[in-house]
Amino acid sequence: MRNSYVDKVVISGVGESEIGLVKDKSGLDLCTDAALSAIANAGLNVKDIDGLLTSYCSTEPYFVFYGALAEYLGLELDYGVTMTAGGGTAGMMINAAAMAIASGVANNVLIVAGENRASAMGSAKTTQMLTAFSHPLYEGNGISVPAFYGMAAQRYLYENNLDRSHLAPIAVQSRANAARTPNAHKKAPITVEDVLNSRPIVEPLHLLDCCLISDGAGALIVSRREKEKDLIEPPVYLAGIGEKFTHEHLIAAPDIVRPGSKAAANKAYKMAGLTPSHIEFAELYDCFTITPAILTEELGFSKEGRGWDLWSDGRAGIDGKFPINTHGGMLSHCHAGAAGGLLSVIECIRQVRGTQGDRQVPKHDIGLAHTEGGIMSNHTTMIFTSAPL
Amino acid sequence: MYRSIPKSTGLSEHYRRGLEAGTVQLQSCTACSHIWHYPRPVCPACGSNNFSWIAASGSGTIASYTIVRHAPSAEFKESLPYVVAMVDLTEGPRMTGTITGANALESQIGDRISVEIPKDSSGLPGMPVFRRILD
Repeated sequence: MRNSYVDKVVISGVGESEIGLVKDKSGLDLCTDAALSAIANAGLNVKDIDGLLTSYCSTEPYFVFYGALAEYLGLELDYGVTMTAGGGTAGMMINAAAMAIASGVANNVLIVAGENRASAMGSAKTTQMLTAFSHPLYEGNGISVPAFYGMAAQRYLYENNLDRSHLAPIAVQSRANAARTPNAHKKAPITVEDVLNSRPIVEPLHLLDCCLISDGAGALIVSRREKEKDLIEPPVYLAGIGEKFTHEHLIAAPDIVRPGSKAAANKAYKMAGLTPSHIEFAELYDCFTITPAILTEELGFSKEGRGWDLWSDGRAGIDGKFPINTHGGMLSHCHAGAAGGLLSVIECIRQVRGTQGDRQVPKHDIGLAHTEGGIMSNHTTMIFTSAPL
Repeated sequence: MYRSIPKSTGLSEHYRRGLEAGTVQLQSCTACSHIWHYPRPVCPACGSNNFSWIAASGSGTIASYTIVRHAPSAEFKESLPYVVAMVDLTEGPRMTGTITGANALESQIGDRISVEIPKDSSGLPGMPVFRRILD
C-alpha cells in the first residue's frame, strides 16, 4: 500500500488568460484572469483560497508578486510565496502546494504564473534579459540562454550522428497541435522546410526551433483530497512527482545533454508505482526543439539518441500513438515567463479529465508533465491520473 | 571580443588576479584531488572545503559550440557572427568562452584549443578566450 503526501490532494481547477498578443492587459491583469478562471473551474469562491503560489512576473514592478496578486484578488492567506526557478517554477509550485496541503497548512492552494512579455518587453528586451543567466564573471561575453541550448543541441547532434533536420519535425508537430487548440498563440501551419529555412539564431537552432514570446497566464488549484466530491469537472489526481536540481551554470552540469531530468522522473515513477510504458501522453518543456528530444530519452519514452524519432510520421499528434505537447507547447501555444511550463501542466490536467472534445487524446487515464528551469538546471516530473492509484 | 572583468571579492578576486598574472586559476581538492572551475568554496565532488589553487596549463578541447547569429544585446551586434564554446581543459574542468581567430567559424567538437587572456591598453585582463590549434 503506497503512502505519499500526494495521496492527500486533488487537482480541482485550471484556467488561463487570453494568450498571444494581448495589448490591453498588464501582467497582473493576465494573472488575475487566469486565477479567476481557475477558481470558477474548481467551483470555489475566491474566499476559499487560503494558499497562493505565484512565479515571478518580469513585467510588473512588485518585488513580492504573490502579495500584490493576493491583495488584488482580496485573499487572506495562511500560506503564500513568490517562487523563482525559471521555467521550472510551475512544477515546483505544484510540489510545494501538495506538501502544504498534506502537512495541513492550507486547503486550497492557487498557483499562478504569467506576464505580458510580448507586449511589455518584446524580443530585444527578452533576449537581453536572458543574458543574465550566464555568470557575469566567468561567462558574460555575448552569451545567453539560447546560446547554451545551442551548445546542448550541437553536442546532442554530434553524439548521435544527427543533423538539425532531425529536430525540425518537433516544431512542425507542435504547430499542428496548436492549430487545434483554441487559445494558442501561433496556429498557421509550418513545414520542415520552413523550420530549416528560418533564420539562424544560435546554430544549430534557428528561429522556428525557438519558443515564442507571448502574453499569457495560467492558473491551477490544488485542493485537499476531500474536495473531489464537490468538483464541477472530473477530479484529477497527482500520482507521483519528483524534483532534481543539478547546476545553475552549464559548465557545472554533470553532462551537457544528460541533466537531472532522469532522476526527477525516476522519483515520480517510483512514487506512482508506474513505469514509462504506462504513460499515455506527455506534456514536455520545450523552450527549444532540442529540449523535448532530450527529455523523451531521459524520461524513458525512447532509447538514448532516438528521442527525436517520436515526432516522425505524426506519432506525437493529438491522435497519434504517443501524443506529445498536445496544445502546441511553448513552441506554438504560449511562452510568457513561467506560464509556459504551467500551461503544459494545465493541458495535461485537461486531457486527463477527458473533456477536450475533438482535440481529446484517445487514451487519457495517465498523463505526464515535465517542467525545467535555467539551462536544464532544475527538473520536475509530474504524473497525473483520472483515478486514485 | 574583449570584455573586462570587474574587480571582485574573495575567490573571484583571486581568479581575476590570476588572469592579471597571465594564468587561469583552478581549484584542486586536498581531500579527493578533484579539480574545478569556476571558483567556489566547496569541492563539487566530495564536499570538502580544503583546496589549493593551481594554474591551468591553458590547453583543452571543444566539448560543444554554437555560432551566434542573433545578438543577445545591441553591444554584440557588430561582432556577429561569433562562436561561443564550452571547452574541457586538460585538467578536467569545463569552461565557457568565445573562440577567437580567423578560422573560428570552422570550429568543430573535439578541436584542440589554447586559452588566451586578452588585456586592454592599461593591461587589465579580460575574459579568457579560446584559439583553435591547427595541426
